[in-house]
Amino acid sequence: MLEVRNLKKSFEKYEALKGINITVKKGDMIAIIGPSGGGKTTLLRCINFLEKADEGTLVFDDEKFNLAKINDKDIAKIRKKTAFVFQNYNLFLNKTALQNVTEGLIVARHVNKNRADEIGMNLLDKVGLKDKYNLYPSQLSGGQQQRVAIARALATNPEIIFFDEPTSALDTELINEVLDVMKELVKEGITMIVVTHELSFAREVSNKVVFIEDGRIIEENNTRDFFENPKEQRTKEFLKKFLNNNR
Amino acid sequence: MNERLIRILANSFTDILIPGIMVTIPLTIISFSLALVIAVFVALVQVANIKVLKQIARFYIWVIRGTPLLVQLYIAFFGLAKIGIIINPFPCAVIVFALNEGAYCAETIRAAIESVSTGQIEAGYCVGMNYWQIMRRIVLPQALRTAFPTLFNSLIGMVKDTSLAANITVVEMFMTTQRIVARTYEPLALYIEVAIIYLIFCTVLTKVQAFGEKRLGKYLMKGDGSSVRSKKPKKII
Repeated sequence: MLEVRNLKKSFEKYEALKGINITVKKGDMIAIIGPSGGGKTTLLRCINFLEKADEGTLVFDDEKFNLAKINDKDIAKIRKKTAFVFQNYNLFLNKTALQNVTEGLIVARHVNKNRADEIGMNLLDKVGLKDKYNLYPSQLSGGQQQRVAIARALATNPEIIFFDEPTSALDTELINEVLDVMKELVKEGITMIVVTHELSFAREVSNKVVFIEDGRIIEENNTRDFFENPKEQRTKEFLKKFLNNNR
Repeated sequence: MNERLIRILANSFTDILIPGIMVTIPLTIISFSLALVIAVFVALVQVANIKVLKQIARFYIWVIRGTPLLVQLYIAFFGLAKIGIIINPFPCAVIVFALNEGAYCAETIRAAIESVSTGQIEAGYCVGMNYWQIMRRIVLPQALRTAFPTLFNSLIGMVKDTSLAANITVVEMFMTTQRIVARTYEPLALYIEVAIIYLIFCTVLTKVQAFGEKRLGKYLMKGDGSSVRSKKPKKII
């Protein structure tokens, strides 16, 4: 369904991504893990054109795009089928929770307001914010804001959702309320790529893990083998600390 | 105070107030509205980085901010007349005030637009909106809220700057006062009187500003009703 081939990206002289290949099938929950500064977030941002890649090919629904030369029309077309959840939520601050969810429907997809509100309220109910429709982001906690952001991502019924460290800005107690919502989505079979530092979450819900460091994929495998039989020495080192903590 | 002076002040009060309501206020409102339109346009052109227009915008701001308002009025009224462009005093004042204030407000609005987090713009793209939809629905409403106090500052400044229009024969409050002074020889009392009327106008505007800030700032309220921009730590005990 989505395939990235040989994605490269540099900032000035620093090579952030040195040729990444990823294949996503429908229903996949792919966890991208690895140390900070390794290129995980950049990868996600390049796939959604928030950063312009220097090189690489994107195959989306059997259509091929050159990531370095893609035009605005194709970008808009792909974005209509994808959604993005940010580390720091990035809710529209001048819109209520419900308006945040419906904005993309009404403005970008011309859904009429009543229908959009209906969809929006259903999604907010689903992420456990039934009584918060009319509150502004400034009146919500971090966990609540991120759940609104997830509802916003779901509103447009995307084929794939990208999560960029969705819990990194939250404290421990709030992390779980967001992860629980995400687990629900996995159960429903929604395709997603999640950049995360929550290894136990990745282990529990993903079906595939990609370990990225220093702009390269060090190892990728199905989740079970990745955690139980890591092949690369570097992966073993990275996992050791985590596994020790989770004995 | 002698009786004569009291009589002069009482009589002149309405004489001054009437051109205030008929000329000063409309001049301010029309000029400032036009200034805002110019300012939003000039700010957006710069933020959106539209090549030639951006350079024109910078040039416009550079010239307007670098020359005195009074000189601009003289050029537009007396100067242009010399080459056959004759504009009536009132529209001439409106044009000059709008262009002048537009340059200052454009900078205010540009700064306010830049203060809106880029994350919200990215989020807008990700839900499928295009640049101008994001600007109109997400960025500008927040920017105008941020710019509101400063814009109001400019508005209050303009109320007083309209007195300069007296120089190009617009019969507004100040010129009316000057005429009464010429007739009665009471400069101190009468100029203080007109100052007080300006002060009343500006006081009303200050109240309007406070009300407007509250209305526009709904989205900045925290759960407890205090503003997220409140810099004062809340008392705990």
